[in-house]
Amino acid sequence: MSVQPQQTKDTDTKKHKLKGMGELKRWFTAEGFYADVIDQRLGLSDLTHHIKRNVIPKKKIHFSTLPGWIILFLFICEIISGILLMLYYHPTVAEAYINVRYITNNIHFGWLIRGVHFWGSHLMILFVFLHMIQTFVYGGYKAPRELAWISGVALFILTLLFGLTGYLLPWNQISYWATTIVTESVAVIPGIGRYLKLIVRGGEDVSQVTLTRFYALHVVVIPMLVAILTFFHLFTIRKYLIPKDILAHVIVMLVMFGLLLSLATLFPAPIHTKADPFNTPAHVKPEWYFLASCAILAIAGKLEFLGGWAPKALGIFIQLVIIIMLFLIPFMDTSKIRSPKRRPLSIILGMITVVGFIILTIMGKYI
Amino acid sequence: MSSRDVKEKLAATRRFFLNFSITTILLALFGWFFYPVIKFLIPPTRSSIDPNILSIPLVQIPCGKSMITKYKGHPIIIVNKGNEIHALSAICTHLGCIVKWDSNKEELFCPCHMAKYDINGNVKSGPAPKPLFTLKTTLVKDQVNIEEV
Repeated sequence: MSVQPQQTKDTDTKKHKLKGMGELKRWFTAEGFYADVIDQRLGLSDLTHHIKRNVIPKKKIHFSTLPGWIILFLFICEIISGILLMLYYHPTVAEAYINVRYITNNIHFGWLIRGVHFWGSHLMILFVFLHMIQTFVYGGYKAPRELAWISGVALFILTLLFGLTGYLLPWNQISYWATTIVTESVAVIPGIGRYLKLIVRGGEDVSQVTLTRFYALHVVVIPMLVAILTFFHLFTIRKYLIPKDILAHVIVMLVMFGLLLSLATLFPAPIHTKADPFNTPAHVKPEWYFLASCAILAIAGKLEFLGGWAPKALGIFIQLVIIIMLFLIPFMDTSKIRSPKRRPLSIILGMITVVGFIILTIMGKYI
Repeated sequence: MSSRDVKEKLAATRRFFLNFSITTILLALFGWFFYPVIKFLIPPTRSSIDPNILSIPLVQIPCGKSMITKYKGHPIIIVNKGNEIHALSAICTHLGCIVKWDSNKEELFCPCHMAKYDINGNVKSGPAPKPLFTLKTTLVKDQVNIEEV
């Protein structure tokens, strides 16, 4: 009788030990790790119930979530290739150009990493345009998703700034003079323009200070803002975010990656000649996504009959109005109808905008 | 064995085969992705970029003095003994410090642990396990040309 309690105690500790082992074992099985370890601690099931609620759709592929995911995928590609490029790049007037040459010609696969970064930026901006058109056509900006649209427009502007600041970093003739032109155009904003130009350039002309500023913006400030805004953007649309056909999305991402690698291989990123502040080359053109902006400035330049102030100031003013209009779209169109077939006016206005943008881009190319 | 058992067994091996192939393909994809990244992280050796012959004006190394410079990314010491010029590795074979030339004793010594070498790189005393490697020097019109032996 006296032995009995001791035995129970023994089995108890044994059981307890086993239970402890069982708990530990849960960490090493996929299912247990998710259910007990991750979910108990992070409470992810609140978020993932949107996936679990999904029904397998009859239509195999839904394209609605695709452009957004492609942009995110390209952004991740840009971060990875950008960090790799940072390892060999020094943002100084003396070294930047040499570094880019060195990366492209001497480092193993440097041409590939640079090509991926170069083409990734172009594809990312292209898909941002497509994503905005898609959201507009399907009425994705309407209540209750106004904040998704507004943060999206902010992300669109930040993406363009990514392109602008990154363009200067190779410190070649084209990038130097394109940056000179773009930063000069800031100066025409009445009142603050002159100071704004000084702030952006860090001096009277594009110099080492400008390069340092653009580098800081390109690798720290803009990525941080984009990351924060992206989280916000995804949070506002979390219910519509998860694709119904994840496998199809993964396949599309792999195709995108293949496209990126093919572009980087077949059309290598150009190097040009080193920036020369005393010699402006003949045809300085910014990247294609700023050509429409150039065309607007050129057309505004014809408005001299309104007075000397008109050309540049109006050119900038029109663009500012376009950006503000983009932000305000959800408040200008407050009807609840989403189907594009039942919103002819919106669709026609949207089409005019897109066609206008394409025409201005082509004009910008040949002006 | 009934035909159902055979079917089940076949299905099991088929499933194993499929899982195995998919895992292999995924691992291959992973490696295929990281191969360029890892290669990118390893910088190319200087020897593939730098010229084979390093030329230094003789005026930079006065008689009895020495000079430390880099040859293909490797620090070397050039010693002018007046009648002859020597070039050796400047990295002490003990723990990698840079050796100095002592013109009075006509020897190379390492300030870290006092390893001593003669002008041909042979160990005279101290903890150095191996001699310093030497380079070939030729004098062409006030220029010292240094190249690998």
